[in-house]
Amino acid sequence: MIKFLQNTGRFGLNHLEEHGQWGIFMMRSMRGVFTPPYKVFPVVREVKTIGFDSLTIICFTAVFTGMVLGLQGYASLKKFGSEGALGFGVAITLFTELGPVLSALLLIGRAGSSMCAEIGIMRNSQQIDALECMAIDPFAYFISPKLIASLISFPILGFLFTLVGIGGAYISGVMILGINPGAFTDGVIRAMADERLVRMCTIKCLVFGYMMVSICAFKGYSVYRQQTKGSMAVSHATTDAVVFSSVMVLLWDYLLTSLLL
Amino acid sequence: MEDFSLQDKLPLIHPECPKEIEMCLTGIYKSFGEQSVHRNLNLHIERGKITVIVGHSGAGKSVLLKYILGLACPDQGEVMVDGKNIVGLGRKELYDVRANFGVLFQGSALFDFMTVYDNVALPLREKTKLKEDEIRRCVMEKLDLMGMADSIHKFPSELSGGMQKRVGLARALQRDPKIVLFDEPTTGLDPETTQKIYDLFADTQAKLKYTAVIVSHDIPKIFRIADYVAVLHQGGIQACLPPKDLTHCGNLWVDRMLSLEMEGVRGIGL
Ligand SMILES: Nc1ncnc2c1ncn2[C@@H]1O[C@H](COP(=O)(O)OP(=O)(O)OP(=O)(O)O)[C@@H](O)[C@H]1O
Ligand SMILES: [Mg+2]
Repeated sequence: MIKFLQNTGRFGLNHLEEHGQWGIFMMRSMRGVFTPPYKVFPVVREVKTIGFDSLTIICFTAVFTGMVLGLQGYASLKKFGSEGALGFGVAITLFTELGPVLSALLLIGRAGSSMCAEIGIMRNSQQIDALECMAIDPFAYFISPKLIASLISFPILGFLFTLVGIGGAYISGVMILGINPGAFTDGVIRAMADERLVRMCTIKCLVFGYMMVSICAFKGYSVYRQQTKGSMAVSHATTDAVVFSSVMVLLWDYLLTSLLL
Repeated sequence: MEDFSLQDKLPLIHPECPKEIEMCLTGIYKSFGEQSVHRNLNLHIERGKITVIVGHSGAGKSVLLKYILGLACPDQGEVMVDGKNIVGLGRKELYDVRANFGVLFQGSALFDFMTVYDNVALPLREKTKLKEDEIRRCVMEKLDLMGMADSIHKFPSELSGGMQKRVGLARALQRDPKIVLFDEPTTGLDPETTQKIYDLFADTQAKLKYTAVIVSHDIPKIFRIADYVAVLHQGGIQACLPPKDLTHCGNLWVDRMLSLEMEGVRGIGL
């Protein structure tokens, strides 16, 4: 019984400590954003690895998601005889949900995991200690650029996902199934004119981007907190980071939708 | 070597009060879980001198350097560097102290995604406002000294262990530090390179007058450049003496090390 209480207590304390360290971690990386010297090149490099290199996978997924949406949407809307609303429906779904969420999940799998592994290995081989000893702040040096880069990349890729997805729906709905193109584009434009949707998409993308960096980079930075050591610790940290940040994205998606709708 | 084997008996802990103290560790206790590493460790390091720390593998030498760097915290005790207590110092002040340091880690800790050149250039790029061609000149000068000038485009993973050490040394000496902390700078190097690096230490030390703390297993060769030798044994500093006094300090561990060294020389008939 005592043992059980002890273990619960230790577990709780461990988690509290982890949250505290997460807070400190995020504060230091935010401060790194605002302390001079401001360097552009590292941010550009990170935008390339996080954003630009993910373009293919984002576009690929978006086209097929859009096409499936077009097919499914057509099949269900046809039952009510309102195929014309396909454009509107697809645009809203992509804008508010699928665009931000799917692109975030893809980016977590692609960029978040590599970010976590990279930082974890640097930590393990004392490279971060070496930076500290040269009086170079590791946060300002390479975590803040990642933060800025993902806050830039996420919205752009989220919107891109949406647009390409709408294109995919156009292909399956209009070109294959033969819906009236005028009705489709009209619906899309009507959906996009609603600034609430655009705002929702932007906010979600920004929050998800922040989530990804804060969780993946933090998990990498604190590999030494893992129960295992060395390369096992990096592999566990990466798994944790991907699972945890994906779950957080889905959770926050619900919260944000209920708040902003 | 005759130098310090022919001396008369001298008192044990010799420099009772060194002139100028740069760093001073007092009453350090540290344990990792069950294992106690340091028990009441005291060490004074004189400004502008080379202090060599010797001790058997696992005695806690690297951990000791980490206290000075602020990377590890003793459970108890004070670590004064330049009049400031490192333990519990804020990040900003810690960086101010570290700005004077030149550090070589036991595992070199080079940045493995950068070339040798970028590794050595990093402290200059991040911490000074030098132009790129000036940086190039400084970097090449240091790499030349280490005999690494023709490997500048290689990555650390493409270097041998000794070469990594030399790049680490070049990086550590880059900003003309006031305090250098080297963890086994010559382990894994051949005798000739070792000799060259010791000469380099002696030269640069004479020029720059930095305070050096060097961890080394290179007994007795390292004694040539050491002003003081601190013996870390059983969790504490057993003696901190000029090398010539060391053979008579009565410390069994040092005696054994030195006699093993002699035996090695005799054993192959030299
Ligand atoms: N992070 C750590 N966690 C647990 N134990 C540690 C840690 N760091 C060091 N130790 C232990 O502390 C002791 C001293 O380690 P240290 O690295 O200082 O040895 P050393 O004197 O540098 O040895 P060597 O000459 O082989 O480098 C070792 O027994 C080691 O197991
Ligand atoms: Mg060591």
